[in-house]
Amino acid sequence: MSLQRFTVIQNSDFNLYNRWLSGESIDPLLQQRQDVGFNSPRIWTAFNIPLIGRLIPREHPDFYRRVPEFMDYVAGYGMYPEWTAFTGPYGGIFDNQAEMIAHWERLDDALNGCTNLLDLEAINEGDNAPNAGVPLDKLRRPTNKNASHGSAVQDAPPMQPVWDVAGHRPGSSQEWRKVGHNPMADVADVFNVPSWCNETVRRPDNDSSWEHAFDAAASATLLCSGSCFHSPSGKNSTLFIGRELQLAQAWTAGARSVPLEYQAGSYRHRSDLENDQILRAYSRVLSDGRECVVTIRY
Amino acid sequence: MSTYTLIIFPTPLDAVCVLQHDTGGWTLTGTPAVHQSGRPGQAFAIPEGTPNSNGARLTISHPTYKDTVDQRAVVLLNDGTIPWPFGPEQSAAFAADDFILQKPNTSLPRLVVQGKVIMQDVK
Repeated sequence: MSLQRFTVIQNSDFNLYNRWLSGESIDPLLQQRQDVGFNSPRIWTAFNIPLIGRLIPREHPDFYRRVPEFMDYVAGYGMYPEWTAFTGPYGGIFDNQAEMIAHWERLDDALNGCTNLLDLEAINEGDNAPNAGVPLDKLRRPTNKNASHGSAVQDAPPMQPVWDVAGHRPGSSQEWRKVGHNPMADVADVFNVPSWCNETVRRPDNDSSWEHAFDAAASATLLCSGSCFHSPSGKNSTLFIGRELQLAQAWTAGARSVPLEYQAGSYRHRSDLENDQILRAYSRVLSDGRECVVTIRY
Repeated sequence: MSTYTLIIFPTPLDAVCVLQHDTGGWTLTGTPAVHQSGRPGQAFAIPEGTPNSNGARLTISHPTYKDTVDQRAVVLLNDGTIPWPFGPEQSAAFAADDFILQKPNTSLPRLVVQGKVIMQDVK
């Protein structure tokens, strides 16, 4: 085994599998995501939500059978998808818990052997009200693949027991300074697993700052296992345009601005560098003394 | 009016197959059909009056496949004026009717968890 460092440079693409499964060409979308610099679409699997789309597994007889074909397809664009099984509400999608468990196990089976899987995530914000009734304690833990038991609402610990990796949601106040720091401090250091914010403040409608996008992603590469760019076009999987595209580019530029070797360094909060321009300064220091500093601007 | 039936076998079966004749003045889109051998494919109903042994362009594509087919060939019609199959005794002809789109053959290194970080297993 020869290992190379990796960071998740993710974008929401909730509706991506639905579009492909319905016969749409997703090549322009994948090409754009790859050109911008992303390496991981976050894909939802069962939903009927305005502004996202409609994907009801039982309406597609080949829903599970074609998962490996899809994975091969997006591998051609260097993509490591994260698949999220449950993203409530569930009216008209699953009639009972047995159907939910079957969905989970069939997804798990379908992803066996797919080398470009980032992880199979059980649930998005598992303690959020629309997810009531999902039998998280009855879902088998996947083997031979990275799996997440699921994220929680803002500032809450992930679904437990924590599996191989875990998504996180930091609080929304000054969120961009927490995108890298809080998955490290609140999840990775606590549960000893890789963690990243797999949903962040939606851009540009809730934060249109280029600096915030760049700094959030840079700090995530340095401090945790990566980050996710969240946006309106990512929800329903359409092309980024205008300010949204600029912020996506800022995000990936920030994520790729930090050499991955610094993941191995010791964490420091460089409060000595903070001032009325710099909200936070974080660094990691390697054993040979070299230091990488990321600043979070106001 | 009778037509000539041309059956081809694309993979996937629901690929969009379009045949454009050079001199016949028509462009046809394949429709689902089953060959007399039992193999499913797509059929083109070539209109009567189409000049025999003239060229045509066949394109095949599918929204979820990266590859496409864009191939020229001669369309031979069994109108009784030429021996069938396509030539005199001992001659040979290449009549392509089997078109398979190639899926991208890309395999990415598996991601493995090492403590609090994710690594690529590049072997």
